[in-house]
Amino acid sequence: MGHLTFKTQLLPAFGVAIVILVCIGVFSYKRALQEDTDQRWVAHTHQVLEQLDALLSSLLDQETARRGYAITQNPSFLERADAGLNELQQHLLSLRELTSDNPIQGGELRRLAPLVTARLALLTDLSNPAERRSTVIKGKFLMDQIRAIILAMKREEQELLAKRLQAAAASSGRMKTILIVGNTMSLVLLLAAGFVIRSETDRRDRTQRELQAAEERYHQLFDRNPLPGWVHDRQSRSFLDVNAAAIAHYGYSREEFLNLKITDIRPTEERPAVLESAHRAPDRAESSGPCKHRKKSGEMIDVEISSYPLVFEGREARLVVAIDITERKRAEETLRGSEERFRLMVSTVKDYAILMLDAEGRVVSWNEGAERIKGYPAGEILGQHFSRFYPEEDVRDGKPKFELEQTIKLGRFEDEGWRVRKDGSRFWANVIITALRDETGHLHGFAKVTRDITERKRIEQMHLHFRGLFESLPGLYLVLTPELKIVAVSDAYLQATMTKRDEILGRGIFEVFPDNPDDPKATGVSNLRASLERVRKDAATDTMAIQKYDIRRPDGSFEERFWSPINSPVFGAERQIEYIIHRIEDVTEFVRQKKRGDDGESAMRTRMEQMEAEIFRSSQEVQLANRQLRQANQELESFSYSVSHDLRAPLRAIDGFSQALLEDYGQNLDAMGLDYLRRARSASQRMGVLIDDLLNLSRVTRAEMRREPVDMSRLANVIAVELRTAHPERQVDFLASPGLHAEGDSRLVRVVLENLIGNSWKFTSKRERAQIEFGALQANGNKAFFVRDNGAGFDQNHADRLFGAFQRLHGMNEFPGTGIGLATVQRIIQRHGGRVWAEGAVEKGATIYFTL
Amino acid sequence: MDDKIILLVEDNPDDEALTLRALKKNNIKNEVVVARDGVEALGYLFATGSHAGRNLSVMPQIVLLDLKLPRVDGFEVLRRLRGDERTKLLPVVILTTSNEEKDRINGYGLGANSFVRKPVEFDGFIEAVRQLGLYWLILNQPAPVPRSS
Repeated sequence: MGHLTFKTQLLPAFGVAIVILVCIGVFSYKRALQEDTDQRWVAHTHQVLEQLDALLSSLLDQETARRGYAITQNPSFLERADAGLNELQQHLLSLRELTSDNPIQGGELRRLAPLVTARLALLTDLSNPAERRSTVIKGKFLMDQIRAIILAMKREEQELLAKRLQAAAASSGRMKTILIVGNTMSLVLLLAAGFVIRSETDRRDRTQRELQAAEERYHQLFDRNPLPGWVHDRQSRSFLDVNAAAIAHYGYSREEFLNLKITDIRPTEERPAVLESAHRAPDRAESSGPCKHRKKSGEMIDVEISSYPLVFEGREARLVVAIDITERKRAEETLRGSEERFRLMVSTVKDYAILMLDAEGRVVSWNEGAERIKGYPAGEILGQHFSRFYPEEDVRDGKPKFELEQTIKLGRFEDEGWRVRKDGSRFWANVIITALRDETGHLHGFAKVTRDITERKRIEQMHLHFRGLFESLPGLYLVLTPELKIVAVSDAYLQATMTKRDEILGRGIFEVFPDNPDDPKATGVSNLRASLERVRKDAATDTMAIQKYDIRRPDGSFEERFWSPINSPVFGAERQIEYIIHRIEDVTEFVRQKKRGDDGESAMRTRMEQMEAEIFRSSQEVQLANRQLRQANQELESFSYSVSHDLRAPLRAIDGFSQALLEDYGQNLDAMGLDYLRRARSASQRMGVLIDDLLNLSRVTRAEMRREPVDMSRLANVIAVELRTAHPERQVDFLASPGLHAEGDSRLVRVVLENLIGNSWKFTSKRERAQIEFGALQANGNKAFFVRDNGAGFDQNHADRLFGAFQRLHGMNEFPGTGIGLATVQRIIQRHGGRVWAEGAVEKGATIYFTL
Repeated sequence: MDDKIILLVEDNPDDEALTLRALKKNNIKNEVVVARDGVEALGYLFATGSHAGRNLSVMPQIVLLDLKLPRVDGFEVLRRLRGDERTKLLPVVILTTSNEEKDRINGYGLGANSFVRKPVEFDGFIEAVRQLGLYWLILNQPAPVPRSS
């Protein structure tokens, strides 16, 4: 028995029972209607019979009254008769109505009516005594007829009644049968339905009990489940229940959980996916993940989810169990990452052949480097024995086998030797074989790393050759690192310095060759150090002057020696200094001869030696001059610094206090006094300018110079624009030839043009229409630039004085100036290695030429 | 205006007198504290030596610093000043006679806010002082003086 029985059997049973009951009702109703009709018909019959009796009675009354009148002639009888006549007519009418539906009775009545009329007529004739006798006889006859008809009608009516009663009885009998049968059937059906319902209810109770038990079990399983779990509403995704493990793991309390939705524990970016998945959440168990969950603390965890559909408190819900796989995932990722990196590393290594061999020595893995070095593609070599990489003779000697045995014994084996490529060519290899064992020590195979070091081997050999060559050189050579450690030395050098190679290699040069402690004036170390320093700094060869540098004998005493050293850098691939070659020549003998030969140059054996002596002397002089020059430059620098600072300060005081005097006490001075003060001011101001110009001149001399392309035409135009701006009142036609370029220090060249064009500007100030031209021409095969003007000019006889400092060819009142401008120009041109000269005539303008 | 002090570090009495005159000519009436060498300047700024006990919450609005100074030179004053929390944000204008490139590089390198060369002619000097006063005493908004403990 199941739900099916209830639905398929119980419902039809109820249906049939209802149909039956309805039928019974219908039948009963119809029966009641029929009975009603029957009753009416019985009443009708009685009425007919009554009216028939009344008619006969009325007729007899008429007879009696008429007869009374006829006998007594008493009119009261007549009155009675007349009144009864109406009654009689009334009965006839009633009868006609009552029998209108019955043709038989109707016919009888139509026969009766004339007889009644005829009888009444005879009764009226009774008053005639003559005819009374016949009338009575006739009347009796009529009366008999009437009685007969009435009797027939009565009988007919009673028969009808009997028939109707019989029919009613029969119908009532059927009705009873129907009622009994119908009700019985209904009862049976209802009983059956009742039984079915009863058994169904029992079954439900049983199911309910089972369900409760299941729920109990679910709670046990759910709450005590060590895995976090919860139930959430499938539609709203709110948490409906949550187990202890979830509370412990996620950090939310039960109450907090029940106020949350599934989406609240997912990272924001995954929420849309959660919403979407809910719409297609199937009605069956499903596993998903890994996905991210957020703990209350904000920590993200990776989880795998199993969920099952269930109805929870009448709601469609899902039971979810979450497994935290964060740790596992992390471990997996780490492992995968390192495996992947390792695999990638091995497979992409090109400089090393990295391969695995099985325990018997067959190749089981092969990398790119192996293919490159040995020439076999992976497909060709996998499964082959590794001995094919060895030359035939090695295989014959059992070298591959020996190497594996050694590896098994020692765990690792390294070898250098010839190996064979696929094409049969040989290469010099460095091979490292490592045994691969599992935890139990069982040998799995070997890892073999091979490097092609043929090139290195060759270079090593070449180095050996070169070292041999170098050491056999007849010259005295030492090779130093930039840190001044000795790395190579020629035999001749060792011999000349009384040293041994293995005693000096790897040591610092000054450690090996210290100054002679007995010579307080020894400069060997400091001069050599300075020279080597210059080589390192300038990355250029440095030739030292002849140098006294005493040599320590093996016994520790020193021997006086003179040397002519030269130090040169050796560059590496990146232009960095890799080594310094220190080459010396022993000139001791020559210097001694020179010293001894003060009395006569004849001691000099050759012209060559004389020249060398000259060179020695002049190089010593140059060294000294250089030192003096450096010193002079430093002095000049500090001098010009104090000039710029200390000389200007008093000038400012003179000018400032003169001004103060003018302002505050001017009214106490006469015109001459005021003029003197103004002169003092202008003199001090002029001296300020003079000092600045002098400083410029010295700066120009000292400034570092850098040659670069200079657009001369553009520069000239820029300067002209500046002059125009400073002297807007001047009318000057300035023309610069376009496209002139030069090589020079742009800042210094600018100073040149500023001075020259500025001079022209100044010396044309008395011209109404000043003309200044900048251009270039060829002079002695060099490009010479010139600045030409139509100004005051100068006397060509004094042209050479123009470029001296403070030389002025014009009075201060005529044209102001310090006379330093052209000196500065000349200094700059000289520093560029160029030449400057002037052409001019008084009042005919001047042209200054220069080359760079 | 009384709180806007000018610290003039100048050893040359002529230049000191001229600077004060230039300030006066420009109607700059701020209090001018004159330090005649680097030691004195540092003494004022850090309340040591002759300035011991000075209220350090009062700092000059601007320091006009000469470079060539006896005892401790201007660069050293600047270096110490920039190295101290209390004065590292103080506006310092190097006001000197020199125009050497290396002085300018040095001065800016040590954190000078400005480098002005004193012109020889007094009119130019007055104009320079006027512009300095306008800029550093009126336009410029200095960093607040740190609370000294």
